[in-house]
Amino acid sequence: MTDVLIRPNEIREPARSGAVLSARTVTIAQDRGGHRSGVTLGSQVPPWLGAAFEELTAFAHLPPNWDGYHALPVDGTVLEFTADLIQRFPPSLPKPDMTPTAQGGITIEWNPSGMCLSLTLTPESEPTFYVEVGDEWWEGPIVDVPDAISSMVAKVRRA
Amino acid sequence: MVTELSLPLPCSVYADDATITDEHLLVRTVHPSWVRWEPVPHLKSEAFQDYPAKRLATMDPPVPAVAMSVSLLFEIEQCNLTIECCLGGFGEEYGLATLTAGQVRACNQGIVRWPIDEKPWHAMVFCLQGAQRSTRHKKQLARAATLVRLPARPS
Repeated sequence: MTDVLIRPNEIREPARSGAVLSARTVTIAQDRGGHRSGVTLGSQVPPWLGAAFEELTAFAHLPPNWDGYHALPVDGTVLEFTADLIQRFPPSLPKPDMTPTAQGGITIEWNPSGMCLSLTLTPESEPTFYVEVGDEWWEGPIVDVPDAISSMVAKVRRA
Repeated sequence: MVTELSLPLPCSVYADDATITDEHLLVRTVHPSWVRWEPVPHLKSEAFQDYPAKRLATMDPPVPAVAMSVSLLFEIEQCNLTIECCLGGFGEEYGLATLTAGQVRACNQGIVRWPIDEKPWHAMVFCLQGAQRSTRHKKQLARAATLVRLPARPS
C-alpha cells in the first residue's frame, strides 16, 4: 500500500479573490521509499483525471434543490479548488469517489479495505477530514490532518 | 449571512419524541449520487445530511435549526399508503432507504414529528449534542440503513 501524507500549506495563490477555500490549500506528497517528494502541477497526471473532470462538470450543472432536500448548487470556488487539487494527486493514487454535498461542497473519498479517508470541501467554512481505520476514527478541520494521518499510517504498518 | 453557528442548537429547539419508538422504521429518500455501486450498492454518508443552514429560513414552514428530513413509515401506513409515496415530489430516479428509530438514536440523534402540507408522516432527525451531525454519525447511519429501493444508476 502507498502511504500518503496530506498537509495544508500556503504555497498557492488564491484561485479566486476572497475565496475561503483557496486561502489554505492542500498538497499531496507521496512517500516513496522514505523520500518524500511533492507532486506539482505539470507532472504526470492521474489516469482517471478525465473521468473525474467529467464528474465535476456534472456537479457544476446541478441546479438548486438538486437532491430534493433544498440542497445548494455546488459552489464554483469549491469546484475550481477540487479540480486543481485532484490533478496534483500522484498518478498511482486510485480514483477518489467524489460526491456533492447539500451545503454546496464536495466530498473526496477513498475506501480501501477496512479504511476510509475523506476530505470535505465546503464554501465559507474550513475543509474537514475523516479518517477511519478499523474501529478507530478521527475527524475535524483539515489543519489537524497530519497527526491523524500519521496515526493511521502507523497502525497500517503495524497491521 | 446565515451560518450554522448563528442558528440555535438543534437540541434547544427540538425534543426527541418518545412516541416514535425504537422499533419504528424511518424512510429517507436517496438521490442517485448518494449510492456507491461497487462492489455492491450501498449508501454513502452524504445520504444523511442536514438541510443546508442557508435554506432554513426560506423553507415552508421555516425550520428553526438544522435537521434532516425523514418519513415515518407507520404513519404512512396509517394513511393507507405505501413506502413509495416518499418518492412524491422527488422523482422515479430516486431510491429509498430505511432504518429504525433505535438505530438513529444510537447515533446520538433525536426524532421529531414535523408534518408538512400533504405529508403528515414527515419528521426530522436532529443532533442531540452539537450543532451538526458528525461525519462519523453520518457514516454510522449509512451503514445501519437498508436500501429498499435502488436509485437509478448514473451513466
